Amino acid sequence: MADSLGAFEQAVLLSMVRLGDEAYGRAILKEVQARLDRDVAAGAVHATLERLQNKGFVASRLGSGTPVRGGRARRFYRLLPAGLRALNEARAAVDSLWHGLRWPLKGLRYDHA
Amino acid sequence: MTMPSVDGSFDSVRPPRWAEAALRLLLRPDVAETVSGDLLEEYREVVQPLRGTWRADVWFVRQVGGFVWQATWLPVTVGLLLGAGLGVLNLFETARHPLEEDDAGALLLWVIVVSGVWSAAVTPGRARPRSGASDAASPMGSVTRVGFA
Repeated sequence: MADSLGAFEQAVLLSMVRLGDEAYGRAILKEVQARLDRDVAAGAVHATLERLQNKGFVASRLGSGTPVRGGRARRFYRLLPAGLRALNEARAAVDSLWHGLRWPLKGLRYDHA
Repeated sequence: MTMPSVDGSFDSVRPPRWAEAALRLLLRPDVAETVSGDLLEEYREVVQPLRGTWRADVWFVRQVGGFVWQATWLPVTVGLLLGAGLGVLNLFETARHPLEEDDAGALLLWVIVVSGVWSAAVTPGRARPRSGASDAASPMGSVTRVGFA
């Protein structure tokens, strides 16, 4: 079994899947923020991308810069087969945990008053 | 969206230079270029037009702070824990043998042991890949550890 993925790693990888060829650092950050519906630090996404790259789940290449970036290059990321497999395994694990249960769960109070 | 000036450049709209310099110091050159480009793009296209220059600068500095945190939390935390542990141990030893002189050899041994433990704890491995950030964090963690030990 491949390395298991944390929730944030899954969010980053799934954002890359959604973005396709347009998956570069800033676009991934904005997609993750939109999907998680919260502010996310660029450093957190960058650290996750580096970790995923070192695990062999993603690869990157440099693209050209633009004037608004001061001519600085973009780094585009793409999913590798190992990353795809890890995502599928993560989804299968969650599906297995939820198998036979109805969502949303009912009959329990959320608060502990 | 921020528009370029009449000469077609965005140079007049830029985050604090010291923050950009800090980012370049913290990250590997190839990483610093793409990361600072991403931040600059967001700063110019979204944050500065929406929030104004002062709040956009605060946003930029917070983003750089996030990178500093990513790079330093582990070595600094381990250094603090080791230093605190040694401090407590030293208190116990002093209470047990209040009049005993410190032994130079024993002290050196402690420094070597603590250095080894700290290095093993913070050295990037499979789970924590080596990066420019972790390279930059090592001296900071060393200072913390030596300061507390």
